[in-house]
Amino acid sequence: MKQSRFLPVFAGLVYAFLHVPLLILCAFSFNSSRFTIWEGFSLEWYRAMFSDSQLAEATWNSLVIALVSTFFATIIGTLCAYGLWKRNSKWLSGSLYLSLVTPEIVTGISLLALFQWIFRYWQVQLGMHTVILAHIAFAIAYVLLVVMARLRTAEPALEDAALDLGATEWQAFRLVTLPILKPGIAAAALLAFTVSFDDYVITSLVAGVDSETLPMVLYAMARRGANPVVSAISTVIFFGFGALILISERMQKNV
Amino acid sequence: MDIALQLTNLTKSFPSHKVVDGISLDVPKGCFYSLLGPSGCGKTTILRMIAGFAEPDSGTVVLNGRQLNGLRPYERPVTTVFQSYALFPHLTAAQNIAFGLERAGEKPDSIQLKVKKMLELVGLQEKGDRLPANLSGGEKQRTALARSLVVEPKLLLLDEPLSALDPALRKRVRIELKQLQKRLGITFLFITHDQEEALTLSDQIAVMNKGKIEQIGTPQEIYLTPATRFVAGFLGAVNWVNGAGVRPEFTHISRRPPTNGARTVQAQVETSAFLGDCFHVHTRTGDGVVLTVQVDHHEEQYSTGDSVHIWWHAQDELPVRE
Amino acid sequence: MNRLRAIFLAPAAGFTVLLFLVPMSIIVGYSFLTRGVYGGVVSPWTFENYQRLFDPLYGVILWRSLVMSTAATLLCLLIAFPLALFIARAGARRKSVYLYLVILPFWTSFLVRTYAWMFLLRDSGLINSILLSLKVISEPLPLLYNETAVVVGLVYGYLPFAVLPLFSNLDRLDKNLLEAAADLGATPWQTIRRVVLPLCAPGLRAAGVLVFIPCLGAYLTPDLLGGGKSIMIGNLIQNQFTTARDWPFGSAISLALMALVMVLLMALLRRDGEEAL
Repeated sequence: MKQSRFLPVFAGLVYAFLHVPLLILCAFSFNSSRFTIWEGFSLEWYRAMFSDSQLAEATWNSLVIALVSTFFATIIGTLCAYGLWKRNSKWLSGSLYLSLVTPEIVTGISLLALFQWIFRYWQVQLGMHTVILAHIAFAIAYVLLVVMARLRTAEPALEDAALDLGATEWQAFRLVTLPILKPGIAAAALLAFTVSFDDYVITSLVAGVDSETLPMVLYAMARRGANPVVSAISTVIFFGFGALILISERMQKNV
Repeated sequence: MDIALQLTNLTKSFPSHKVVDGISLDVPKGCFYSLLGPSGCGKTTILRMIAGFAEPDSGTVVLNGRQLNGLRPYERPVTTVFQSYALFPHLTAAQNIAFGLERAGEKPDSIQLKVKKMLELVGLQEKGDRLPANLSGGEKQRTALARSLVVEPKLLLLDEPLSALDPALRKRVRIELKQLQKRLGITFLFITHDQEEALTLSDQIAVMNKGKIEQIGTPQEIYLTPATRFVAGFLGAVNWVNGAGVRPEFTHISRRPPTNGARTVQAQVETSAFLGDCFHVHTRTGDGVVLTVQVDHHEEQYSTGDSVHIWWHAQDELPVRE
Repeated sequence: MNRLRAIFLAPAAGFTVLLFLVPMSIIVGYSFLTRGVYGGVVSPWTFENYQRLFDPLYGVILWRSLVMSTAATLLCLLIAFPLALFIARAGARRKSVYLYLVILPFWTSFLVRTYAWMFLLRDSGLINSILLSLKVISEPLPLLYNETAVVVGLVYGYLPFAVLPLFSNLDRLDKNLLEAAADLGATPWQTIRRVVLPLCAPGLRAAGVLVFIPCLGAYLTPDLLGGGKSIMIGNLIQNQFTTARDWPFGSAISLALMALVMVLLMALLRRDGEEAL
């Protein structure tokens, strides 16, 4: 069958569509002028970015939230995936998958309603803790998705063999299944981290005054108008996460 | 004779049908015992009930006088060699073998020694540090065997362990397996659907079909004096003539009628298949029955259309009627 | 074993119940209550919120959301199909590189990617700057803050959701089928139309649903790229819970959206089973 040239050309165009806007943004973050005419190379906006204390605090918050929620979500999600792999629970897996497809805005407002309702009886406010709880909640489903996909390719006979040789169920999990799952768990953790760090919609609804995150600051800046500092931040985020994803893919391949 | 394993009236049903239907058998100590039967006859389910991965609906599993019902797999002195070997991919061959010993809480020195001896026993001395991915099919099988034997089980279950090997390798491993069992004296319960394997390896065979046992006996007993039509047909080819069954190796062919008082029918040759070490001559009688006769090279050759006499001695007939 | 499994499932079950099922139930409850004077919810139970959904004022927003989501979905499918075909035909090593290139932008930051389009499309943005400096136009084109910009943003954001299931479906197809079709005299276009398309119908359905649902519930894209004129359901909901302080109405809209999402998912699951996901 003659290989037409249409497909490669088309694919090239699509990849351009996907990547060029971001690359342009990155390029112009080095522009010495704040207008979209190239006037020279400059790190001015990066300097501005690093000296913005509000930005620094927001980034710190985002990191803390992402690390804490990733930690808990990965553990909870992995254990859940294992439990469901052994024997499914329709209501639990159904609810978790449903939470994945629920629009973020709906998840966000429902959590807001929950917290406000709790605060009637408990002297608490919206803050880092509510954000973290919310992030753990939605990240669990992502972890479940990745780890489940891994488990489906696993050989159930392996745990049988472990039990056969004298291991208890817990030992079989710890010594046989868990080591084999490691790359999948790492990938799941990375996904959870990314999703948490990047979240705007849910976070903006349940964050308190003291818990501004990087996406929230970015959003405000983007709303206000053209701001090359946003380009600088975007470039850092893009390459930072790009590198993380690359590492994750490499780890996944080493199995 | 000491009995190692005693199954009494085991049954197991799944929603659709009865998989194991009242199975009872005794496995003597040190015996190489085979469960032979077609796929789906229930032999794997029985294995799982002995190992502890499934519980029978009724009936008991007794090992050396001790009832195993209700005990978890890790509480039973039984180990299994799985059809897929189930080697732990993240551990080396030596680590795989050490696994059971570690669970039992043995000291590291003792473990190291036992693993080394076991590697030598199965001929994998040089391969101890390899990961399963770097082992050949035969090596994996030997590692799985070593892993299950090193913990000195009272009973070793083998679930079609040779089926993943190619035919030439299979024959060699078969011999090694038999020798190993004799040497160690451990009771083996071997599951297979390959009758040649069962006949070669076993001291005793239980032939199963559709959840029930058809016959138990030594390989010779089962092959030469099958108790049911199923057993006769499963263990080898049978020529059924007028209700009597005769094995092809006891069926003879000649152009003239036999004069030795043998039973005989007339037939016409249809095809003559060359099998390498002999011919299988397929003939059809007047009633349309197809009879196969084994003919050696140096005997007279037959071709399509020849009129022949098929004959056999009455005492060579199988005890089972069609 | 069951005790171990129960322990393993408990934390996730706890989070699911307390932070998903309970909040959703609260929203269900709120949707039947009335707006309090200072915001919040008060007693009279009513269907009024659901009745308001049919008010033409909001009907416009619902209709717009459906139209834009459909447009975005169709565009995604049109773009994703040839791309998925291209990747599926590539050699094993190249395949993962190509897939990685599709996923990479998606995993970086949704905000950043949406901002990139603002950068390109705004009056002082790159496209207008170039056109102005080339004297092609004398005044900036209003490329941003309209429905088209939103659709472009949606396609840009959710294209990977279309590519992955299509690729997975196409990759599983027997390459020999295509050869056989060619052997029998079909032109490439005929092969695609008669052989490939029907076989990857499940992939197309999955891709369609996986793009349509997030588009329907989109918030950031219409918010940043649409300006005030092209708000979608997601923006309306957010509005009710913040500025308008009409939680009961916002809840009703949310549930209507959820109902639509679940209907679509059920339809997909029933048709194609769980492997679709």
